Amino acid sequence: MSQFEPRIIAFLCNWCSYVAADAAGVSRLTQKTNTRTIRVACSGMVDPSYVLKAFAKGADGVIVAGCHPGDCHYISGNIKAMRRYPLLKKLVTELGVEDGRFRLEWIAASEPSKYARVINEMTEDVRRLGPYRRPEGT
Amino acid sequence: MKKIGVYICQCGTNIAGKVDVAKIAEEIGAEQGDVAVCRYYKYMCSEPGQKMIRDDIEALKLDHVVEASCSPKMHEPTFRNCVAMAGMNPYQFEMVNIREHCSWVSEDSELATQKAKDLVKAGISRVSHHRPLQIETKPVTKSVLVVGGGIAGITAALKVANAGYPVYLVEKEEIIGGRMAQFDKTFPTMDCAGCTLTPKTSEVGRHPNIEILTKSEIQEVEGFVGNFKVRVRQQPRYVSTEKCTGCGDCLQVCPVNLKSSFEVGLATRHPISRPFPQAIPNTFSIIRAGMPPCQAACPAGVNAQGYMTLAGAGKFAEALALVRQRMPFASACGRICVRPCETACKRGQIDAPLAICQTKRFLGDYAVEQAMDTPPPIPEERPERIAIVGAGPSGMTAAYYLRQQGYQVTVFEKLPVAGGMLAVGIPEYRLPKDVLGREVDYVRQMGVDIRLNSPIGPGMTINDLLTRDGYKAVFVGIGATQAVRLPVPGAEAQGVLWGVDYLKDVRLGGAPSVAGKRVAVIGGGNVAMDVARTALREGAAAVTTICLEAADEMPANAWEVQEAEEESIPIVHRRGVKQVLAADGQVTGLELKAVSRVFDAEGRFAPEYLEDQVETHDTDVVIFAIGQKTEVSFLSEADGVQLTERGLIQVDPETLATSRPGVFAGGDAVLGPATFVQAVAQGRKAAVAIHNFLQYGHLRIVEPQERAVDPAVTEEERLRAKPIPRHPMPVLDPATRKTSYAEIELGFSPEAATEEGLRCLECGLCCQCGECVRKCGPGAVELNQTECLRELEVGAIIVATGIKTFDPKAYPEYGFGKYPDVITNLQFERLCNASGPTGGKLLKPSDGTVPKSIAFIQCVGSRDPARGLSQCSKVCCMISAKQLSIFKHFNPEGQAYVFYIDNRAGGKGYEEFLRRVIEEDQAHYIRGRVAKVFQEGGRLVLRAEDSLAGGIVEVEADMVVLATGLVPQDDYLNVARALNLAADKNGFFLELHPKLGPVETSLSGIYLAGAAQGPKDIPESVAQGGAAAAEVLTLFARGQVQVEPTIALVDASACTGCKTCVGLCAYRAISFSEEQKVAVINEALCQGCGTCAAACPTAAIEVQQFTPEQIFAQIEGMLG
Amino acid sequence: MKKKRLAIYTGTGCKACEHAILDLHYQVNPLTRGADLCFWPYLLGSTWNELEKAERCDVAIYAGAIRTAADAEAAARLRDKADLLVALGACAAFGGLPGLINLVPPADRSESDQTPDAEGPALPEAREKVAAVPSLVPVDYIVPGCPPPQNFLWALLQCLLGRPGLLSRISFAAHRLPEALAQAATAGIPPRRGAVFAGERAVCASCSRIKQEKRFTTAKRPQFLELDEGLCLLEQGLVCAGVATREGCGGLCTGVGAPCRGCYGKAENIIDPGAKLVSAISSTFDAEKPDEVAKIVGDMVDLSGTFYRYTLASQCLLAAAPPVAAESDSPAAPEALAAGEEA
Repeated sequence: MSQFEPRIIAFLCNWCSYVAADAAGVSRLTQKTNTRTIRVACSGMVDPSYVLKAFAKGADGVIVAGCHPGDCHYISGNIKAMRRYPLLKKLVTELGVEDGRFRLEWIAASEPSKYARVINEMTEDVRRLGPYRRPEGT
Repeated sequence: MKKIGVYICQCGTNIAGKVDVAKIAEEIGAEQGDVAVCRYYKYMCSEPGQKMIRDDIEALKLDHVVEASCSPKMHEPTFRNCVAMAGMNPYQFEMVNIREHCSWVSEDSELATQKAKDLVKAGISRVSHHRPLQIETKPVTKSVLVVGGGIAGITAALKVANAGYPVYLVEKEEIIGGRMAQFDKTFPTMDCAGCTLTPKTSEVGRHPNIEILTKSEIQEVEGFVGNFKVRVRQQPRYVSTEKCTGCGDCLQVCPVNLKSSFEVGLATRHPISRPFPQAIPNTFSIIRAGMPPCQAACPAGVNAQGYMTLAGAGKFAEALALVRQRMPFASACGRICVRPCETACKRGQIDAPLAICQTKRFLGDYAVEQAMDTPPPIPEERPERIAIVGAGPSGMTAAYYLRQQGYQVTVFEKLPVAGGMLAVGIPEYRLPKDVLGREVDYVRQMGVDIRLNSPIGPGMTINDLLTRDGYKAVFVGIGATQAVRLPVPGAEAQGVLWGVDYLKDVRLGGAPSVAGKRVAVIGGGNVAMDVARTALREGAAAVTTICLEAADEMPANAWEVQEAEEESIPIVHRRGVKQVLAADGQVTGLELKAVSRVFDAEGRFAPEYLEDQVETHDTDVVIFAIGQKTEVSFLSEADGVQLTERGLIQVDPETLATSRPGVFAGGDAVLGPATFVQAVAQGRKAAVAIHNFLQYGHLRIVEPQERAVDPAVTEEERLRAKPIPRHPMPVLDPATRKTSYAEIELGFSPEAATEEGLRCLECGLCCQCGECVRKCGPGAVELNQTECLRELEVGAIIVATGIKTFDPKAYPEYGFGKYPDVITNLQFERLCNASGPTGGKLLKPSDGTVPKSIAFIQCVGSRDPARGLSQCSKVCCMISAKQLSIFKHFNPEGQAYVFYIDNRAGGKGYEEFLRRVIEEDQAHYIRGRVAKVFQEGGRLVLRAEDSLAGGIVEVEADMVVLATGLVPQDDYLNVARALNLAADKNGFFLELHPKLGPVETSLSGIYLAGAAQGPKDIPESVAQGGAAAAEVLTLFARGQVQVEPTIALVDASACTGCKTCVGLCAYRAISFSEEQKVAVINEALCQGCGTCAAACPTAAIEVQQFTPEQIFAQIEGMLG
Repeated sequence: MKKKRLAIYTGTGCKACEHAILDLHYQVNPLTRGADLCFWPYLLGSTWNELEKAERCDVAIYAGAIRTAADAEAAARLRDKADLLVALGACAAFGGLPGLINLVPPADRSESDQTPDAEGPALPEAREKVAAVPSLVPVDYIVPGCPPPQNFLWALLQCLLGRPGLLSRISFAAHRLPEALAQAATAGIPPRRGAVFAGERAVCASCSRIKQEKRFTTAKRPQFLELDEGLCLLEQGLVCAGVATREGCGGLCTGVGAPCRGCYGKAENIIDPGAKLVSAISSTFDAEKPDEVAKIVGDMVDLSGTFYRYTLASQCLLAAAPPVAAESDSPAAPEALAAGEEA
């Protein structure tokens, strides 16, 4: 069997989502192996350039995960991420990145199962979409 | 060429069980250019594993290391330390998580191995961009700021102070002690709160290391852990803590009574007071809300609240003295003032404003009647002679205050009477001769030389006065005494007269008779009304007033217009004069045109007419009362007094000094036609300025302006309003008065004046009447104190701002505020407190009898997200248990009921205490919410559901105690903003970690203590106070703070100064350098969250250890 | 001294760049004195054959984007024929406005596959995607701008023709150029290969408008806006690309109240102008809730056309073709240097 194995870059904030991912490991919540995690201090640190870079370098999906609004370790970093996501999503959509390849999620340290669930469902979504290709012509 | 060492951990079988570690190591070793060595081992974190790394670093001169094993959360410190031991910079190390993120969560071993390999490759390409970083250290200022003087704050302050460090204890109220000071006994030991607290407070009071800042609030905090700069706003106590002996004499004389917040509204207090005898600071203090609206509105700044309150207390002489501090002519002012004070009076928003003006008139007149109106002796005579030009309001006022200072004052008046426009501009029926005469005589008796019929001009110019006659200063207070003459066609005809001139002629004699004639008065101002009513009294057959304005636009005071109309003087609105009609030089009538508008959009006077809509009005005499102007022809070249383009005298608005040194001017001569009270204000201002000029040359003294209180009526003020209607001023009836010049208004009786005084709402709280100042032996009361800003430099901040109780008015069905015997549990504490309103006897507020039964209602506000709070307030169960056992102590036969949801007695000895109360005191605990409290036959009845027995129960009780929930202070948001603290949804400050950081906050150097962080009882608050102190002392013991190097740095060469980042930083770490036009990051404030770096449009900001090149490398590594 | 042989050509473009050269005013004459215009179809009607026959030329200036096969061939030829190749203007440098067609799949480009009719001339076949010159052939120098301003053009000619003009002109040429380029211009020697004749930072650095606090409430259009003359356009709700665009223009557009559209390409340090503009603007959204953010975003239209107006074909990470490796920072051609020393 050689089904398509997408590669998804996951930017996890150090204080909530990364901890959730760890906890998911500790409690052995099996996940698809398609994520490649990058630990960042805060979801507010994720520069849209990183997202474009990831797609440009052949990632099939990108997810940014941080603390729930109000629980940011840095007071309001995740609010900045929350502000950036819709505009960036709109831009990358115009540039041919299909819906489902780019997500922003709030995953608290106490939500390992949510982390596992999100990763699995996103993997399947992206698998269905197939490999990411730049729009024809470019 | 980098030399990277890569180490992969098998973690027993934890990793190796799923991931083919050996394979990865082999492939990496083969393909990665920069990799000098790649090993794997069973347990990298074990000593042999670590040694392997250290040896490689030394042997192979590795400059970077990648460790692939468990989560960095687990072992990053271990391996950082390990590489550091081998002499490598710990930040040139990268940890890759292939256990939690890979082996433990993957099913397919092949895919897991692939993933792990990608992650390792990512780590390798990332680490090769790591730079060595150094950890910086900064010294710590070893002093602490404790915000809040409750038991938590006190405990923290004492611990730090006893350790030998200076402490600033900032408290919002006048005393420290917080809530605990209000309590009577404490559960479960039932020992007296006061007896346990006061030793602590007095220790704080006398501790050499603690400075208490009462009535203070923090405004702003800048800086970072170890180096804070805090700005504190301190309200004045108005009583010197040094001089006050605490004798309490002031209490006997203070005329103002307010509800006491310390007694939770169960008792009244004076603005000057001391909540209880053992209070710390143990001196009295005064609460003042700010300048009351009446005083703020008065151009002369007369303290109306002050003298009204004194009048209310029947202290008429003191009241008059207070008036004269800023208004020498009480009787005159009380008759003719335009009363801005009454317009501003807040009582006007409830029923009618206080009759301030007429009370003032009474004060002046009464003093005369009592023949006790003799000027006080002049303290010290001064040699300087001062000339005043014009005996009008401003001139006489200047003379009055200058004479008080002891100067030799001479007033030059060109008319045969003193008083200026008061004498010749205002008809007698408003201001009788003798009244004005008294005012003038009073000034004469002070020793002011008033020279009538002595005009200034050729032969005696201002210059002569200064150079020839040896006057040291001159004040020019000539009014606007000339009528403005309108160039109306036909105005030259016989029978056309001019407003103020006419009034003057009537007063001085020689006015053309209008007897039996029809008179038309043109104008809508007070002068027009005076002219019309004077003409009427001069025997005119009929008087009509014609004005441009509609009734509601007229500049004249409403009461003036009303009185005119009462005297049957019709007023024609919205008509302008087109021309005066005359037959052989004699006025026959007026041609009037309609007015389309009087004021323009900006409200400036700019009339427009409908020239086609004209009508005629037959009349024999026309009197134009359309304004007046100042006559300055008496000024000579040599005087060197410059004028404005409006032809008024030019002065410095601060000092009223003219262009000629030593010459000052005020009143209409400067303002143009203005009111009496404005003239007085300027006269006084000039007097002060002249005094400063003569004593200190050109020095200006700027007096700090007190903030005015909020003009809207508050709830307390409504409650303070005594049910007394405004006293109408008795007046002559129109029929009799219109024929004579007898005064129309007859004045107040002492009773009326007193009652008017009692109507005052005391908007400013303390009315600054000065009673306590006069009474205070040691002279400790200093009403001239002003609020001040303190800047404190501290190394740490402890926030212990505490809580307040939930306002049960949100539950109207419980009848709080409706039935006096429904009280809160905090009020209950005061009722049984020995220093409380009842002196420690538990009595019903309604009738002062001992209650036979008491019902407690639990969870008022708490555990009710729908209408109150979602949280449990934690202490109420125990408080009620305590209070009912206190009640049983007072009244062993009494019966207590408790309506509860659950009983929460988690705490040492709490459950036992609760049991005892239930069993020994036979308290009747009923599980269920109370639906309604109502009165029946004089007793309170509670209807509730008994959810255990089932069904509805009704219980009678003499007293109902509401166990109110605990909520944050009203101003918690100000504190949060000043300190940048985060608060939870209930408004309690957020701790760093709910389990492991209960007193720390996300801001290092700022700690929490007590209930500000969440509802707490006393032991917990004390414990937290201690814990916070421990945190502070740890910081001080360390003596320096380490600044993590993983922070944001600005590349000034790339920053364009677009300021995108400045507003984004949650820590205010980014400032903007106007010199270099670039953003500047305070390294110590920066927490390294990277929001700014992500947002910076030119990538001029980078967070160390998270630089774009590192992240990009990581991305390329894992996808490559 | 021998005149430098100069070739000038425009591919797919509006020829405004060539006009910009003619717009050099007083500098035009010295230009002809210093340069032997060996190939300039637009001005002199030169043909490719002439170019073929003629000897090598020193400098070739290519303006316009590469849209058709003919453009690509022209670029290749000029590269072969000339020692130094200059990409002149936004189209040549970044693909420019024509590059926006790359957003449309070739299949949907109705207008581009018109079959030539009998009498009309045969149209050159359109390429699948529009490209910037550097992504086809190595380019030695780039002069951005739409069109490039005179001072940078003059600086370029100063450098490449090796004839420093009068001091006044030199200072004019050096105006707003990075130190190294300014020196090269004054000395009349070619700067390092790959140099961009423009500033280094972003437009904000030279924009005269006052920046206060950025709080983006809603995207506005200039024509519907009561503009505050002194204040930053972005702070007034205009989506201005100046924050992430290479400086050099001196804030010409923003100065007159027209938001920057980025004709100088991305600022030095960043890798994708669109990503940075998104980040900078959205970070300052005056919104705390998702729905508030959604509302602001809803009002913003044609993001790619706004954020990548001139750079889609070359600087957008998701749409760009990477440049072909130019010769590394080797110093300019020896004879050019020699010329510089003579000067």
